[in-house]
Amino acid sequence: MPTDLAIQAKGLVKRFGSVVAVNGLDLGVEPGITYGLLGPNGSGKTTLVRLLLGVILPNEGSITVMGRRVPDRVLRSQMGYMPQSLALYEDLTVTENVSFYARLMDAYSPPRVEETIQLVDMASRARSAVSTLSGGMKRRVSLACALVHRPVMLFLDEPTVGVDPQLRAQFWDHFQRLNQQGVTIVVCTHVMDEAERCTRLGLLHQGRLLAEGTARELRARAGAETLEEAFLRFSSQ
Amino acid sequence: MSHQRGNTEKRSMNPKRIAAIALRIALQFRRDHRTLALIILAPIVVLSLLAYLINLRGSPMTVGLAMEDASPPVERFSQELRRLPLFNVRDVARDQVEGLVRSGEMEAAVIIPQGYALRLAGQPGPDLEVVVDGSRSRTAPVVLQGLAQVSLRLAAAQSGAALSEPKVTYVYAGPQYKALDYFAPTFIAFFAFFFVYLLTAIGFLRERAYGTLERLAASPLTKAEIVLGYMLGFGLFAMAQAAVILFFTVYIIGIHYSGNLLIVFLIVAVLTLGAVNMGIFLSTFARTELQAVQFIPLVITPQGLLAGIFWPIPDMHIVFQGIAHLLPLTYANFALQEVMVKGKGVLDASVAADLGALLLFAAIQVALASIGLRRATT
Ligand SMILES: Nc1ncnc2c1ncn2[C@@H]1O[C@H](COP(=O)(O)OP(=O)(O)OP(=O)(O)O)[C@@H](O)[C@H]1O
Ligand SMILES: [Mg+2]
Repeated sequence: MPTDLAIQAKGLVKRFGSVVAVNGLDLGVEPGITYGLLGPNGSGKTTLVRLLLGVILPNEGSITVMGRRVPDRVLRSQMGYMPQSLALYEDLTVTENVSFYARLMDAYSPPRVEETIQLVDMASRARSAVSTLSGGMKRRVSLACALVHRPVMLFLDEPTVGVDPQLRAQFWDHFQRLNQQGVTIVVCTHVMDEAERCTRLGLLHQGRLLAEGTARELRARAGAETLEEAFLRFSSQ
Repeated sequence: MSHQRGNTEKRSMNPKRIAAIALRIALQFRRDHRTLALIILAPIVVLSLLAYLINLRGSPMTVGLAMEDASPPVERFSQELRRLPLFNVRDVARDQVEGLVRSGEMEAAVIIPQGYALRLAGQPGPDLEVVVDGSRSRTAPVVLQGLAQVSLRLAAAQSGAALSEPKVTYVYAGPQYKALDYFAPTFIAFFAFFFVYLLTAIGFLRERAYGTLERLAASPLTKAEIVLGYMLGFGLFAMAQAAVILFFTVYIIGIHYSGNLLIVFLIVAVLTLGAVNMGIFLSTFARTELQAVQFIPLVITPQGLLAGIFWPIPDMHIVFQGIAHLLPLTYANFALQEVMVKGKGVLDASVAADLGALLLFAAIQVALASIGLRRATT
């Protein structure tokens, strides 16, 4: 079935032993937007992202990304992933980490690596070992590793944990610019003001999509003042 | 890394991605001075210790001699015994023997019973009695060797043929010297396997613990590329280590070496391939680095004991011989000994067969590692 959706998932089920992490989930994400996944701890956000990336396979259901059935090796080089954990080599420098991931994606060039490090404002520490950086700095490097090959689709699992407010705003400005360039972003977050900046939101609860829409739509539907309140109302239904 | 379901393009291997992993490992290694020093120093320390222990002569052993027969042939026997540099002979009486040995004043005692002269003349008669301090493993063999040397000298003197002295000494020191020649090949194999296994297992465990495996899983990397990248990265250091062991044993310890260096490296490379994959496979069963280390007694020690390093395989019980022939280190050991000690080439039937066995082991480990990788990522 032809579709102009960037991501289309149908009837996704993922079980880990007796735990059902994703429980019959349908999802559609249009290209060039930022889609926010909200939900309490253990609601299945990370699992969903890993399924969309093809890192793990669903027990049931199917996923299509940019018209290709997941998992697909061609897709992998067009997707960027910032896992919830830092996923960096602590004994290597910032430049070495970013270069390594660039090489893996067959997109290595020294200027590009340098540019990406500048983008996350880490140029002054480019030669430092990651183990010597602060928590927020490590996050920035982790983002750089996900961006360096200029992916068409970006999956960010809580990208701004430990990042200071100023830099967090810069991150989101950059995400917006990427959207304008046609990059589709899926981002997991617990931060409500970040959720406000997403084009669309999906509220996850126990592996299911409780509600979906823009921040304004969700607030209106729940009759709530804030997104937080809306989310609490949806979950208690 | 992905679980292919047909709809992708063909799984071509990308040398750039393999090189990326190998380069990363080399960089991490270069930073890790302690590990780097360890893989070079550990074999040198162990080899030096072994060389010392094997060539150890020790100070002369204090041996008591109780003479109950004073006839001329026995007198000659005792003179020869006193002349041996191995022993520091003290005269004692039979009833003192046990007490002196027990108290540690002497390591052993030899009692020459009344009528031993008959035995020396080849007639039926009482034999020598030897009492040893059983707590030291060297005592009994050294005493028996000493007595054998004395008998040899006496026999030579009696038949009139002069048995040259150095030849007799060789009975003691000869076989041990040869054993040392066999240690170099063995240790190249052992250390290559040991360190490559350990470093891969821990490297992979970290890859999982720090979440970097998650990123690799989301990249276009294939399982084969990961395995080859790891092999290349660690393999380089295994080769460097082999070169150091070789240099050290040949030039410092002074073993006899008559092989071709390239073949030695080839054997190490094939062995390393198996070790990398075993490390990846077993690391998926470990949750912490300590657990990966705990596999050592299970997978490394039996190989050290059974692969013909310290005890020749043909001397083992048939069951252990069977086990030995399932272990990769056995074949690496055989092949390296053939090449290094006997100077054989790759086309030699036995070397080729050993290499074949190593390749088979590597193939099995590759299959297990890809199963393990699947377990680790899903
Ligand atoms: N590899 C795994 N093995 C077993 N259970 C898992 C695994 N991954 C996730 N789970 C379980 O699946 C459920 C969903 O976990 P998931 O990590 O997707 O939640 P999340 O929404 O990302 O939570 P958080 O906000 O804390 O990151 C949890 O119950 C978790 O314990
Ligand atoms: Mg999560």
